[in-house]
Amino acid sequence: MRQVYAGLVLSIFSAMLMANGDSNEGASSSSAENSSQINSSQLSEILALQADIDYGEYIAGECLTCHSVSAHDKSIPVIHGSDKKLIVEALLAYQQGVRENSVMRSVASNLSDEEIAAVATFFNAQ
Amino acid sequence: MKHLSRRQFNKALGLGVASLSAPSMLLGQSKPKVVVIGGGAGGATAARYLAKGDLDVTLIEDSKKYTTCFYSNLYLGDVRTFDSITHGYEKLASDFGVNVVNGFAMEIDRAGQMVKLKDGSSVAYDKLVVAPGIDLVYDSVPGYSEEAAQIAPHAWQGGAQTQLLKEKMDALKNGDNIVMVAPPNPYRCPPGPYERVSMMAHMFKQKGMTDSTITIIDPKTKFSKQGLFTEGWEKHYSGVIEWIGADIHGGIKSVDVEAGTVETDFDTFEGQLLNIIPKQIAGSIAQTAELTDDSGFCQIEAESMRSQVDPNIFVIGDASVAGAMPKSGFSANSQAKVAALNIRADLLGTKVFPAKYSNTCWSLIGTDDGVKVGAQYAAVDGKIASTSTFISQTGEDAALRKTTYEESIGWYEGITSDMFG
Repeated sequence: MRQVYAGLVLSIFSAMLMANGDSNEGASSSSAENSSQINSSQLSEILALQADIDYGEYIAGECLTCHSVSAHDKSIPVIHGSDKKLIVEALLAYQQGVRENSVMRSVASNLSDEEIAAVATFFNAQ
Repeated sequence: MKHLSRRQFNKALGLGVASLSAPSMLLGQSKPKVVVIGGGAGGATAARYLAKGDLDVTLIEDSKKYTTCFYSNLYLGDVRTFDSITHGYEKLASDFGVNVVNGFAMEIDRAGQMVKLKDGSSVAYDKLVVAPGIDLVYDSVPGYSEEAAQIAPHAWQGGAQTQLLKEKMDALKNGDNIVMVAPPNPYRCPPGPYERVSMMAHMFKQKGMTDSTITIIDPKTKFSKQGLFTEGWEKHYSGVIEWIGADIHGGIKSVDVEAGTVETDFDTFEGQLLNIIPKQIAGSIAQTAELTDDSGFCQIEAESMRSQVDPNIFVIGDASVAGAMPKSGFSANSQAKVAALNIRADLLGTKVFPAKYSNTCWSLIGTDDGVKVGAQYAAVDGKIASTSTFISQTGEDAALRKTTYEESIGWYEGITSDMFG
């Protein structure tokens, strides 16, 4: 059930991002497949971590260069106030090569589990 | 270099080390003072990330409006308006409480921790951010000068020069040619000259100027995103753009802006419009404050962007030597956040985290044909080193290139709202 839910929310999140112009850079797999490809134990571990919101605020600075607080342009989604789990899932999808945007893959590949938990907690709290 | 944290500092005072000059906050009179010199991608971002109500932040900037150098090529190519790349500092003042001072910072009294402005006034600081961008070394191209830049614009600083180059481009007739002299490394925006000629060729194409050409005389033997630009030029503007590297022309001997000529060892090139982009160094205040090394740029500590010559000063953006990071608006914005984190920790005792830096440079080659190159960086063995990199590939399909261009539009909105609020 947990897997199904994770798949569903990621599908919705991905669909939002796709509608916002995120092309997935030629990813052929559907978002439902993407979610099933994410390492779910890593997801659970990150969600269970004690997050440092101050660290999250600092890491968020890196995101905010592109993800504006209230974008008019839709090519890069607003992530302020996004659900923590959706952010963690999206970052893991980039980190694990399930989603293909090269900027996001590079960003995500440099984030530790603690950093993902921190930044997702920060944005969730906005 | 060892720096005192606030805790260590209080401890030192408690032990009776009275010779240290106390930051104003310890006297309980006012908030610690941070001054930021320069309101570009580095300085504006630093001011914004410093100003959280617990510091007295002053931003000194000579221009009332700031025209971004990034995206200015798109204005040259009639893809963006001038207004859309020009921004004000109103929100930094009204929404973030930054004291915005319109003036030119002439001198830094490092011993007295004061910035002196051209109008004779001074501003005291506990910590100082130096983000003056670049100065142009006009005579690095023999025959070129600040006066000559009114005839042959560099347009490598956003604003009046950008508009001047645009006016001169708009005045060209079919059959007129452009000659660009590209800058030597290191310079602001590595793909910028090549995006610019792309936008110049785009303008020719839009106006049906089929007999006009662009020649780039480059002091380098290769350039950023070379494969991508070369492919794009052939695809969109076949026969219009010719790039001549140093190994072919043998050296740039002189320019004559009145005659419209660029003389090299190999040949003399003639254009109705010359765009001369000379060698660059850190903005003059960094030079006069002796923050620069022999390269003309400022050495910093990779973990914090703190100047290697003065622990109370942080140098960010194009003026700094930031290891593997290119000089770009994105880099400056990223460095500003690391500097702000460390300044806040110095003055308020807040937490410090490992420096994380990032950069992406998007370039527009033709209509909806965008490419990008970028990396993440960290402080590794005292240097800013890349931890992962990426670049667009040749042969990508049109849909992906369009998405890349659209991503850059989102980035522009993101970074400018991150800078100016």
